[in-house]
Amino acid sequence: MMSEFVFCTGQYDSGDWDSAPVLPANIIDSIARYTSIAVAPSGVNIPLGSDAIFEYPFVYLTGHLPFRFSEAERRNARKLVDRGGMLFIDDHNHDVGGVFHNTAMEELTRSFSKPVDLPNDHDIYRCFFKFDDGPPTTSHELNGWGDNLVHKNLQAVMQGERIGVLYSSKDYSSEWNYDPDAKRFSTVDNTRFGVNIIVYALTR
Amino acid sequence: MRRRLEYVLRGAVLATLALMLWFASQSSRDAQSAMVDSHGVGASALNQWSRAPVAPQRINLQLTSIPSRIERAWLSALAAAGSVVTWRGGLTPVMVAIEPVAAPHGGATARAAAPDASAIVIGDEIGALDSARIRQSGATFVLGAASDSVTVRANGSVASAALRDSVSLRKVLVIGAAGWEPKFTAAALEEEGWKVDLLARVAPGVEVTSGAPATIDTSRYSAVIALDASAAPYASRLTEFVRAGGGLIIAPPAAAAAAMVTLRAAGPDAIVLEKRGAATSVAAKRLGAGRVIQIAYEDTWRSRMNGGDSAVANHRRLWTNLVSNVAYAPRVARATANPADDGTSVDDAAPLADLTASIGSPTSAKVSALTGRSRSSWTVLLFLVLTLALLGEVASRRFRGVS
Repeated sequence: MMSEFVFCTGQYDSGDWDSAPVLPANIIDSIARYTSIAVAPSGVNIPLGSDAIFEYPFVYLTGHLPFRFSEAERRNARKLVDRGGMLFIDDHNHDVGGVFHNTAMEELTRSFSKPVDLPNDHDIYRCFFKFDDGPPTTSHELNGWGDNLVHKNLQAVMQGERIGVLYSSKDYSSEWNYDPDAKRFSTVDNTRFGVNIIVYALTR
Repeated sequence: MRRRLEYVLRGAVLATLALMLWFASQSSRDAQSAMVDSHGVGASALNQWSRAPVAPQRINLQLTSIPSRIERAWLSALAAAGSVVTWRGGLTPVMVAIEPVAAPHGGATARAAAPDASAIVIGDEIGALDSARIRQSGATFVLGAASDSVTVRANGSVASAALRDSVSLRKVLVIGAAGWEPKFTAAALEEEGWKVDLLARVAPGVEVTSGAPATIDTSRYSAVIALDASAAPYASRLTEFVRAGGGLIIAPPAAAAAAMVTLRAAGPDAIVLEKRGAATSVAAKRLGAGRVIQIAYEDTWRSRMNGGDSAVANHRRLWTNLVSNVAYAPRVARATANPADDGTSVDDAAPLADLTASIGSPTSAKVSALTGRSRSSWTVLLFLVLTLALLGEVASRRFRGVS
């Protein structure tokens, strides 16, 4: 029996890592709904600085507050990405001038290298559902909070041709942080891009 | 009584003279023979024997090392020209074979044979690479890509071999349900230089691919890795692929699929390659022109993620070794290495066997005991007997009146 995919939210010391507590259940629901990927029915919260993090090659990180790794967290984040894992970091403020974005960019540049814009025809937009215009816009980008901009690209730290760290200013953490049962009221499931992120992480 | 003694002494003198005469005739016959009692053969001796007006009737060699390839060919030519060439000496048999590894990083596997417990040293043109003590008549060395010719030395015997072929590799296809194992298996192989296509089943009838997956045949793929039941729909195509020479690696979830039953490396045809305790962890079988390896390992990605500093390298090595062992890798001939000017050759894989094939097996010590120095010892002994017998006979006659 092959191991199943477990959605892992990374705990880090500096900020509010648990600011989107319902998002994992919603993404797990979408994976089970649209794919045959073996997925654990509930996610886990694992300290990024612990050795247990290496059981989970995909780690989701979010927050509103200043973002900075401890030494152990930085060491583990580098090791996880070097060995083929992937971090998905989402700015819950959707604010490119905000504290999370600025500190996260500094931390990523310090820990890896400066994130670069991901082309909107990248494989991650085509590996399962098709997103011809790149990252889907969120309803939260123009909600009057944050920078009130539609961010055209995601950023990434590349490991060769593979995404090692995917960084988003789109605030998917707000967009997807609702009970999965509420999907029945939507004409288009806005978590579909979340499925692409997981499929990409599992196949590239 | 005295007279009888004189008769006996005269008889001994005559017998000794006859024997010495016979030895003399033998010596004149052997005057045309050549005796070599030296370390090796030597180009000057070979020159001398070859240029003599009459070829030596007999060449007896006392060897302490195996003659070079050219010297063996020369001796073989002398034997063909009519000389009886014999040899003796306690030479150590040694042989080496080298073949390319079917992996992108190249390299070679050298297999050496020598008597049990022999200490052997393997090296290339730069110097020694490794050493080993022979067990069960053989030793295997895995060499880097830089070594395309090797020498093996054991107790003064030297064998050498050069790679004659390189291999032509195709891509590797990894088939599995979208998950960490297919992803990290493909990653490990790509990091080792393999070109990999990944066919990951994501939903019923939906497969996510990386690379450009194509029809499964030996013109496109060297090996296929079937990680789970996602490979079952391809079972018949995989069977044809293996029968045509392709390699297949089956992980436990794939082997459990009913459609894969003919491909399993199990039953009397299978060879156990590795065991963990009582359980078989790696087994192989031949199917047509190809090979199948079935492994008992699951979730190898965990060792890569959780292990120490060498975990990633070990994970890569695990998968590349498995693939190398089954990969369809047609040989491509390399430029043939030429013998060196000094008579040594870069390709002298089994010199003692070649010596035996050229001029025969070593002669026994008893045959050689009648020749050489032993003959001169016999002559001295006979001369002593002759002298003593003559003196005795003369003295007997001189003292005939004394009582």
